[in-house]
Amino acid sequence: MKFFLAIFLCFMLAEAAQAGEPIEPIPRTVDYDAKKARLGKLLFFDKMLSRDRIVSCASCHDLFKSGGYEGAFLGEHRKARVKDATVFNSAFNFRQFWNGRARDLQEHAAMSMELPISMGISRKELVDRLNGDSKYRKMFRDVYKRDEIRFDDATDAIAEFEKALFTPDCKFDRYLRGEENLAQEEEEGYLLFKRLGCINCHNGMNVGGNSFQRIGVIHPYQWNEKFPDMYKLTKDPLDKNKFKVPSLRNIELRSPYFHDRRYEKLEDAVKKMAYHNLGYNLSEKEAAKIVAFLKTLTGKRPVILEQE
Amino acid sequence: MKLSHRITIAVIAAAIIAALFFYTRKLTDDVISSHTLISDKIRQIDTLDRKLDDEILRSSFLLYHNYDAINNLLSNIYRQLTDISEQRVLKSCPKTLVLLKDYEKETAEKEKHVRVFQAVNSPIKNSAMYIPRLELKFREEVKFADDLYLRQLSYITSTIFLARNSLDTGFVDEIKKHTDVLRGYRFRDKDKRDFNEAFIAHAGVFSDSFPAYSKSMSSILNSSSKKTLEQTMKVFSEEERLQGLQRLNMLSFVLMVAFWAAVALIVAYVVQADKQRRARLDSDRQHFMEKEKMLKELHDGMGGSLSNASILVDMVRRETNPDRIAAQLSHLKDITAEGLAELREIIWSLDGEESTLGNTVAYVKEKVLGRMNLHDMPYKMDVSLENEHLSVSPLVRLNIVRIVKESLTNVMKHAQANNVHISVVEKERRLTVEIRDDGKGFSPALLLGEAKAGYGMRNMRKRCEEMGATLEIESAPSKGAVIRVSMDIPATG
Repeated sequence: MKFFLAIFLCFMLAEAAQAGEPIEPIPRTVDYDAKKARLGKLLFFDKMLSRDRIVSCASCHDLFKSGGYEGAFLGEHRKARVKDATVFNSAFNFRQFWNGRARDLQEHAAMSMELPISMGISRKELVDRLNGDSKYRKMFRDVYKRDEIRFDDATDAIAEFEKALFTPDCKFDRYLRGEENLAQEEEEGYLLFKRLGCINCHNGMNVGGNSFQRIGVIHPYQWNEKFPDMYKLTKDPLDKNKFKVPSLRNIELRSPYFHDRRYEKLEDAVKKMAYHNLGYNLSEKEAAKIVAFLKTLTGKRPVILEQE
Repeated sequence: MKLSHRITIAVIAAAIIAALFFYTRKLTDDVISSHTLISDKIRQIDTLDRKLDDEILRSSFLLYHNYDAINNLLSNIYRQLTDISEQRVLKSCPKTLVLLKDYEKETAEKEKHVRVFQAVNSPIKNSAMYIPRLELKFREEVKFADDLYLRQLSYITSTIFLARNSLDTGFVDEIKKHTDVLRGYRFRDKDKRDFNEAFIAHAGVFSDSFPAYSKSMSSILNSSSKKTLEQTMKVFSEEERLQGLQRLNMLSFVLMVAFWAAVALIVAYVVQADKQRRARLDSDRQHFMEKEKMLKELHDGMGGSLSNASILVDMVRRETNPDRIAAQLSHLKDITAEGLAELREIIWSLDGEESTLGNTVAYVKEKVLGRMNLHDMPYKMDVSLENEHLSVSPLVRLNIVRIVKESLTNVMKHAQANNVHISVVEKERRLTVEIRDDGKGFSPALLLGEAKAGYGMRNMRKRCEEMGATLEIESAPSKGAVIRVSMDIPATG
């Protein structure tokens, strides 16, 4: 009996330990196919992938800064666009796009190709262009062992490259691993982040990116029919302003904030989130603490970007 | 077909059967490992499914909880299902296939509920956490003496507590009713106004989200998916027993039997081939020995006649008495005639066209009996041949002729018989030649004794030994005599 009791207690302790921190560090290494990723990298930067040859994936996902849009020229017809989410760490998101309509990165790449506001290119056109390029033909044959380049191979290579776009070893991850202490303001910010309930949506490895939630739960947020929310997919009024919770990793680099790019300053975005979703008016001091914590989520640039 | 060809074909067949057998074994192994993999995966999915429920409960219970686990479990379940669907053996398990499809549908349905649950879980956790804190903050900071208002706050706080811990949506109306009372309050004081607004908002979030929260949670926890999975496991293990595997096992059993049959056939053929080789060697030796005997026959017979003739010629040359010369010349003629007859017999016996038993008997009748001086003695000959086309070797033919001749000579010389009866019978390859007379008879023991036997008798016995025949002599003084030669005629290839 005592034995079972002891086992039960051990189990409970283990459970309690697991219940510990609701945020997990990003792994320091991720398995990916290096050859595929190299090919994907080439495609990612190639403007030939857009119908008008004006943009590449990298035009909207600036890998030299936030991994999201940083003001590149996109051609006249792409002006009225929403904020592009960062491609960094996107492999850790449970779905892709603001409303999660792509189940994974490959699907996201495929959908982006056909999206008029994005690459706006048909599958056939893309495949023809790639097959007409001897350099790509050789590289694809090398990786996929086929003479003809297929659409799925191209999106697969891009997805493999994106897998490699992870930003490890931010200050907070090192804190979680017990390798570094947080400054007092940062630590207080993290406690506040939990106490106020931000953590109930922004949790997990990506500090978000793992559930769908509505913005404006307590105080409604202005809705616009152009928003790429879940309502676009389901036409259920309850899904208006419901999005995949964005990741907060590298958030200090990702201004302007929110899906409608309304706020330039991180302090303002934090205050607005607390107001709309928690019904709480943050003081300047509290906002500053949370921002201090959020800045510890800025990781190292992906290694693959430094490689040839 | 030649035996050697048969052996080659049997060996090739055995090799092909053996190859097929090992191929079937390999197929069987593949099927078994595939079945094991599927069973393992179904069990894994079952564990994952239970863990998912566990995670849902935890994420509702624990305020600060990581949602990643829920998503990872779901994608893991889908991954395992994909792995299973790639197994080809499932094609022979239609019921399992249908159940797995059902399970996938139920899981997709469950996932929908999970998404709804996640979307309402966070605000409910937040609001349920805020409300008591707000109430406390209000009592501490905002001095307010309206007992009715305070009671509304307590009603809402306690009802939310009740509802959340019972998952009972029946409390939602009550919360709404009390929230409506709060909406009726108009405060001039900004702090009070802000507080009232915040409290109403949080209570509203709870009462709006709670029905979906409760429904999605019970849909997840009461999903029939686990039952379907349990049934899948059961049905699969039944189908596994019934399908494919049994057929494959049967096939490998049949192949194994066929293989051993082929091996047995090869052994039988090899034994047969060995026997044939020995028989060929035996008959070769037999032929050789017969040839030797025939040569000896020629030497003894013809040699004897010719040397006698030569001696007589010498005697005639030296003789002056014309009467004696005439007698000797007459003797010479007899000797050469006899030699010539022997030669003819030998030539006849070697003649391939005359080699049947029927011909031999006919020869005995015409040439032996016809030419011998049997006119003094009445004789009778009976012939009964079951198969007169049986082939007989030259030595046997010659011996039969000589034995009959010898016996008849003996009868004429010594027996003083009135009748001679010759019978030749062949039945089932057993040949019996019998010469029976009613003469004065003799004591056979006397005759058969080596030293005292006459030349003729000894010769006859020797001939019998040569061709593997038995010689029987039955006689008693004044009771006639029977000479019987019997032998098996060997089959010739």
